[in-house]
Amino acid sequence: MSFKQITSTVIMLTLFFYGVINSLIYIKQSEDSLSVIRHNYSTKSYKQSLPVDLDNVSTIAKANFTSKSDNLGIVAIRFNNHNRVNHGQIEFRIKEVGTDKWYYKNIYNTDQFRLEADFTFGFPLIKDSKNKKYEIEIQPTYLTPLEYVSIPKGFPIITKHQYDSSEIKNNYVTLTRFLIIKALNTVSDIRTLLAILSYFTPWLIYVIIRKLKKPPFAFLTDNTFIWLLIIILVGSQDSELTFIVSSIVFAALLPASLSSKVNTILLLSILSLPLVPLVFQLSNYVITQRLYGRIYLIILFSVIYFIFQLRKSNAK
Amino acid sequence: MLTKNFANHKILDLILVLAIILISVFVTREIMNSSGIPGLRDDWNFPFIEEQVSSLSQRSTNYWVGYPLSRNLGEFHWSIVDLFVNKLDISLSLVAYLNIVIPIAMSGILMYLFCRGKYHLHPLSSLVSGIFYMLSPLVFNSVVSGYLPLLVGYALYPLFLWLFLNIIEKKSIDIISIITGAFILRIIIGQDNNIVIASIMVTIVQVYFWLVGNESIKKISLDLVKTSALFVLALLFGASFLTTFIYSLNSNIALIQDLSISWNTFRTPLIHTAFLLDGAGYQYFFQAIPKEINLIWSFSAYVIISIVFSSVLIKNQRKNTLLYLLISLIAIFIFKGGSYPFGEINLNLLYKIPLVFGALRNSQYITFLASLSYAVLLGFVLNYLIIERKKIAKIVFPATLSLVLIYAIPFWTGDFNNNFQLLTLSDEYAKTYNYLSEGNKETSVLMLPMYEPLAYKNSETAGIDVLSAHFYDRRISRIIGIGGSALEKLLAEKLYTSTDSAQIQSIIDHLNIEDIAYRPEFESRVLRFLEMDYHSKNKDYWNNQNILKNIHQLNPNVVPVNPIETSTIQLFKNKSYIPLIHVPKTVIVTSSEKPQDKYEQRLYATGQIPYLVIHSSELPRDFIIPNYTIPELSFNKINPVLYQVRILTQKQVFPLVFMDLYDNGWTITSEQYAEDLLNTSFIKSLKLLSNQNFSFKFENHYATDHGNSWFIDVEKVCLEKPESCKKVNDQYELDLLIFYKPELAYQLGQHVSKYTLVISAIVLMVILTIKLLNNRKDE
Repeated sequence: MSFKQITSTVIMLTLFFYGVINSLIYIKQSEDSLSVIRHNYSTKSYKQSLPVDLDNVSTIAKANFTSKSDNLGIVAIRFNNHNRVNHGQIEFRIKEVGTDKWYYKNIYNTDQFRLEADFTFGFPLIKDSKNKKYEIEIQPTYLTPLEYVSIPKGFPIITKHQYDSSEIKNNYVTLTRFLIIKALNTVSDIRTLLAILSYFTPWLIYVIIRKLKKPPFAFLTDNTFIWLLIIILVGSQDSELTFIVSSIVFAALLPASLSSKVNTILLLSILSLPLVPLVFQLSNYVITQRLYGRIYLIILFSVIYFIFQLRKSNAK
Repeated sequence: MLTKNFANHKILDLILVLAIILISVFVTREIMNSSGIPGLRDDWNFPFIEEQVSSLSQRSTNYWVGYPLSRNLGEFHWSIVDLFVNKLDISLSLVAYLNIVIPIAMSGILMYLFCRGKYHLHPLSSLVSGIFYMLSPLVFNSVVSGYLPLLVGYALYPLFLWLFLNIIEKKSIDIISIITGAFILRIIIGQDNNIVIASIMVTIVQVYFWLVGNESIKKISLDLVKTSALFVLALLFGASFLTTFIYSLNSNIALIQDLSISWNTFRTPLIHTAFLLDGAGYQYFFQAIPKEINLIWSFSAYVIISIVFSSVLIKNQRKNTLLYLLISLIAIFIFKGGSYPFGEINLNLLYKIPLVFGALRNSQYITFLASLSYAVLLGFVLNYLIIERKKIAKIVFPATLSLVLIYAIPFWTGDFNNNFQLLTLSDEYAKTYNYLSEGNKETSVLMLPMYEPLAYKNSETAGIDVLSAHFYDRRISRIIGIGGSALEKLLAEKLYTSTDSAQIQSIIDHLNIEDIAYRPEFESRVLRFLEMDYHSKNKDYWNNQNILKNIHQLNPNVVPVNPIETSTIQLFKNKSYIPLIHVPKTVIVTSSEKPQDKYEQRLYATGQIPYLVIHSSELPRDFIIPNYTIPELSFNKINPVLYQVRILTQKQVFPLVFMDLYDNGWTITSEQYAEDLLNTSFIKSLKLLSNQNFSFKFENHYATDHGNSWFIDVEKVCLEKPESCKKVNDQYELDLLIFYKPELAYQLGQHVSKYTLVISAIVLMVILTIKLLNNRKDE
């Protein structure tokens, strides 16, 4: 085995294990414990069209859902904090449809809400919640000037159902049912799949480019390994669709960039700057910042690369 | 015009400089048209009353506002204003206007000259650079927020960079550039954030040139010597900052850290908004963009950024282009703070280098460097097109100029989008100010309703309250922010929520409040700055009626007065205030952490006013409060940091209380030093600072949640400093001074600056004379 082959194998294994370890960490962080079942309800459950800005104490966001399991104990909702710390408060309340009295209500500080994660509203378990229709309401109770949160588009209402773990472990039938539901939860969650796929993208790209062999091991030459490093480093910070797309676009453009006088990736990055308002309109700030974070890094690393080229040419 | 060669066209340069001046006048036309004082939005506002100007300029001596790390680098600014207003008798409103328009024009002019002189860019591309730099969001926000010394620094950055580049590009040591550069840097660091920002810029430039030039160790060492000389000289020009800082390091490092507002105090922007140089801290510029054209504006702004970064593709001027790209990208990275990507790097720097953390509060200022780089890069791109791609330039140049003008839309309103309020104040304010600050009294004024550091709700002024602004002679009881003690906060709470008049009176007395100025039309904003739980419990009580009711209940101790017949300001006088310096009737030692609890104890001591409350942790374990008889005491305020105290006492140990805000820097010394402290010289202040026996070794204890206290041992005083102890019959007359010792460090710095300035001027003159003589010889 030549040195190049050993290097290639080491890189390939490193990238593969990078994918495995990150995926496991992601699943562990995002999945609930064995005794918890999660169900998603579409955004149609809301009575208003989204987004709903909770910027007035008279605004009430309302939603209905029919519980798919017993032991309902948590409702998780995504809030848009508009990239700021909001110092207001909201009240969350839940009751079964048709009853007069709220089963549970509580006030929460909105400074904890982030667009990156669902906020979980916990309440005493409702043992026989299966097939019952519930109504939830969210209403601001205290607002500070220019600070409010919203319920954004595109995020489902999530319910969580807590079962007795000893009961599950002792009963093989229940345990099997739980494992199937949880596996389905993982597979059916597009974000989990995307996350896993994104962690394996560097490995996939590396495998594909090695197979192309035009020229052999071109991927390891010049500054390309640095580019790969950028992708990996950036990728370790998120797990969104944009990561996969930008990685693939990057990989596709790489050969052209190397052979051309003009670095295509750099050029496209600079030209994409005026599109920020458009990208922001079409997506949200999380995706926009991640996309332009990469563009920033591409420009930065290009400048550093050119500085070292200049240094090299000056030395000659 | 685009195709002509204007390499040395002085007349065109003059015309374009005039155009920049005209633009700066145009964008401030609404201020020029008015005779009022621009009321800016935040805390470094321009003084509204002429008397406040002289008060401000006097702060450079006897500087004491209640915290040890004084931000005095920008003080010279007010002395210049004082010169114009009081010595040259120019109207305050005109000086206020010039104070804004000159830095704006200077930023454009200096950027233009920098592009022309340093990089020989085409006049038109230099003009675009100048306009871009002058009409940046940073300028807009600095003006609106009233950060005028900051704006002066911003304007001078191109000149400083020019001089710095000259210094390091020359193989020899260019003393003229070093002295001039240091002087410019001294003015720039009038806002202390600029110490770090200028250091970052200089470090990037320096390392970059070493890197691309493959420089030898010899050259690197020489550069380091030159750069160090530049910074050391700049700091020596403002040596008071250095000396008080070093003095503070001794004992107050934790306090310095505490006082620093953290980076995260203000929102840091996301990376895509960081490119636009706004989005953190003050957002006046962003908010001034009309909603209807927001999309067009965003697009235009990002096209400019795209043009700026396209400079990376230009092959000529490669070395310079890459330098400015690197500066802008690093500045953007720091600016975006903890936001993605790699925000952890910023956060780690922040928490692990605490002093940088303090100096870089308000991270948006780092974008000065990005703004400067953008402007130069824009010039490079346009210059390249004008020289190399003439046909494209004919389209791109006017398009870019238009985009720059669209980017600067908030400026075109002429009044900074109505963020100015031009105030012509009634005489009442000046009269009230004069009444409250007259003489050399040692009391404080309580401003009601309680105010948050800047302003009131319903206030007629945009930013800092007109009456409270620049009221430094005597401390005002303000509740939130630097200087607010637990006792002041307690007073705020009790005034609104309590009906215990005795307790309120007692706190007012302890705070040494003689005058109360109440303005019924204002409402306090303090409540929203307090904890949410407190807010929800007390919001019903937090109104003007309650405080007014409480103040009236203090009668006959606190009585209404109307010495100047004001209609909008009600004045009260507290007849029963306790003198600032006194010997308490009793000493209460408490182990409670809550100030309220200490005042529960006070209720048992109502007959013992004035009393002294000390926390048990303040005292040594075996300390026993001495029995003492109350001596006779008289005192005289010489200046805000120096008080003469005469005490007639028997031989005993007794407590002495000084109810100005607690600081470990307050010491007790002998009256013999009075003359030296009033007329310090370099040698005198150095001697006194290093004199271990300058003050008595009595420990300063935190007194009654606010002030200073010492246990004076008469025997020790007489033994250590016999000249301050005189035996009168069977008693002892002690002549003491209460002095704020860090003032000596400040005075020392003042002398160092003075000498540095004189020596530098002499060196400059000698070198220039030698040069002149050599030139004549050559001819």
